[in-house]
Amino acid sequence: MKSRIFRLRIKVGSVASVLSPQTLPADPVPLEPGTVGSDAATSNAVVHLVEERAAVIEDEVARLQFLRRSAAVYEAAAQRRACFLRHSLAAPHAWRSRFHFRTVAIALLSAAALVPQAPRRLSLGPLPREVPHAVAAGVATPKVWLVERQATVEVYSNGLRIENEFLTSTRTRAYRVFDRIAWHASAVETQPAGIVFHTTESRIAPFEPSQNSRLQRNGRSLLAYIAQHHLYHFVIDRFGRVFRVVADTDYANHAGQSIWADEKSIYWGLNQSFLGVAFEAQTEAPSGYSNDIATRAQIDAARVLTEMLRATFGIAAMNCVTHAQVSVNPQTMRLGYHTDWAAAFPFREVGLGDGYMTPIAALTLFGFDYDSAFLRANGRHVWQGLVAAEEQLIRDAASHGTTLDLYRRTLRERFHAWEASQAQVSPEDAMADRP
Amino acid sequence: MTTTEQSPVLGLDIGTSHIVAARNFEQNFQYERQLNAFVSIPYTKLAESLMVKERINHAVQGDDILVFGNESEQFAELFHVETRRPMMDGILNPGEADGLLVIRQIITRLLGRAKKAGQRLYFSVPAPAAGVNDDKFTFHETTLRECLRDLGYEPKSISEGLAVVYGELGDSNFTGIGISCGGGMCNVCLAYLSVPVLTFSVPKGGDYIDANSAKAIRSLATSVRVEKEKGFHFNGFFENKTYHALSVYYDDVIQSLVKAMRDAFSNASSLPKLKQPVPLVLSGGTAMPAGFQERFEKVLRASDFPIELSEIRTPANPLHSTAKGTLVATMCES
Repeated sequence: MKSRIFRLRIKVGSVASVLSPQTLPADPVPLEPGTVGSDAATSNAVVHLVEERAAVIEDEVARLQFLRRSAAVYEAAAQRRACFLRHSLAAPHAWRSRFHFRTVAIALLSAAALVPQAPRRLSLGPLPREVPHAVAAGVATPKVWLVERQATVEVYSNGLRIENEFLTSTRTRAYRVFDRIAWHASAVETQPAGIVFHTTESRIAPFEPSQNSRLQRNGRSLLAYIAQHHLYHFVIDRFGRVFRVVADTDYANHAGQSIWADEKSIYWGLNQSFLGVAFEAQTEAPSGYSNDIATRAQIDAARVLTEMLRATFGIAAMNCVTHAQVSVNPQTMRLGYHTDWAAAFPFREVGLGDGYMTPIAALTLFGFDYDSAFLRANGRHVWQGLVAAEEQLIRDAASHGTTLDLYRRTLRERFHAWEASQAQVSPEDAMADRP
Repeated sequence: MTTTEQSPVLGLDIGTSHIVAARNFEQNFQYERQLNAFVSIPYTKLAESLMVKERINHAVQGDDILVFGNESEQFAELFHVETRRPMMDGILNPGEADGLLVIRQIITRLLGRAKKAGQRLYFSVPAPAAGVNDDKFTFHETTLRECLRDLGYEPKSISEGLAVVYGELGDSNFTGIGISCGGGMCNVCLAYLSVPVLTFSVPKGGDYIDANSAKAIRSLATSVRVEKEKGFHFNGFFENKTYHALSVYYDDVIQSLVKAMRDAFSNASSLPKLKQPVPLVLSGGTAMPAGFQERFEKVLRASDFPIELSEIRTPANPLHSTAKGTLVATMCES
């Protein structure tokens, strides 16, 4: 255990020194006590990530802020490492001998991992070790109850009003969650475990009194289409009216290929396990329209609807996510097959913590990646959760004593094996995607 | 009703030749510059009242009136004297007792006092020559810092070369080589992702060119400079004696700069192996004459320069690059 901590420190330390003026990424890092020369691949990966993120920040000052912050963080880590080394060198001779032995051993092991022809296998123990902390853990589950149910309308104690005029059904929800610690599937579940927020990306009219009839016409034709294809459980129209389109007990085709994980479980194919809530909205509004994706009324409605769903099904705030956070493309192993609410989802206004802070499970658990198009969809502010996921990936790779590249490949192999086993659970419904 | 005045974000390039203030006001970068020079004339009440009436920058110091800033050059021409220089070779001029007073006056004229206590402000400082750790740079930086602090600012320094990178290389993720060819010296910085990797100076600049050209043709350096700024350009052969002398000493500066760069980059122990070629920006007043960039590029390509360059460019306004960089640095922390 002690040796693992030691190894982790060295690895993180050498990654940390990446942006210091003395050791730049492509530098051949000298093999001296405490520096592992073969960390260059990991270092390069970190620098590449920094470059990639910086490149999508349009504002020059914001880009410089980001780069300087990154440099400062790594500089601080490098100093910690230097301090650690000073202490180590000040230790008694016997301990120092062990220290040197370990350093050389680690260097050789890491070097072996970097030789191109070396066996590219990593023992598949329980991967990865680190479990994300629930950033929204402090958000209490609200208390909401049904007050009245009429023919097509339900009224709840928090003011929520749901219209069932377009209600349809598919098949009863049935899915298995996967225990991320024990690494096995659970019994079949029927209760929703979370909520995925979407935008309909449908035709919209300017939100003006003069456009009332257009706004209503658009909303109704959209609802009819969504009901026909069972696309979401709930739709919030531009006036903030909430429509239940697919029964809560059934699955809907809202999430397609998607992955999420909380502290205990991994969810794959969220059509079954999560409820889909869509805002009638367009991310890129036509010119002359408001820049806000959602109207004030929609945000208010989303808040009371989320409260009701969380109260009814005991949904953790951490499992209330946007489609962009969960959507993946297993063919390319990239995030962001769909990018709705890739930025600007009003998590706090909806009564949730900052959901963009949660590490992205597809990255940390299965080695997914992303491209610049996805980062552009994030807007000017790259999610903290994306950053946290990458950092966690680097830590996990270091704790396994391997390079980021090899670790990511191992996670991907694991994903493909896991995906095949999961597909047997609910092959036809789990991955159905909205058009 | 009270109104709150919003103070603009500021940056300051304190160069041997010019002091340039940059401010970001309502999302616009604005620049104002003053010549970092002065002349002294004997004090008379009449002269002072004329200065006040004509709004000429001046300060009374004992029995003298110090005319500073842009007008000082006209006065020097008028009285056929050399302008006095608060700075020399990139730092405070040790032989000029009134230098700091003049710099303070120019800065006050450009920026005024801080709008609020502790207002942040980045100012440019030169770097020592490669491999040299010289205390005179520390004195220069500390003195200017105190001067700015007296005006109510919370000053932070940034090397001129890095300021050029911040000002002009945003599109390459603040990676590349920034060069400020100023009056007293040329400052060079290689930065990688905004982090300065190698920073140094070459102690030759516009003043060296002016002084040596003036000696060669037995003229005043001030007159040579005025003529240079009127329209000097590199075109091979000059019938005009002044232009010919300027051309010779410009070449000398370029050769020295390229040699120093090649030596510094070749001998650097921690130089990164950059994956891609990096851009190089030439800025500063000395880089302004037409043909300077081409001449520099020719000499650099002929040398065994160890870093692969994607392009060499001169910004639209080379006099503002360093000031822009100081402003960007201040904005970064505002």
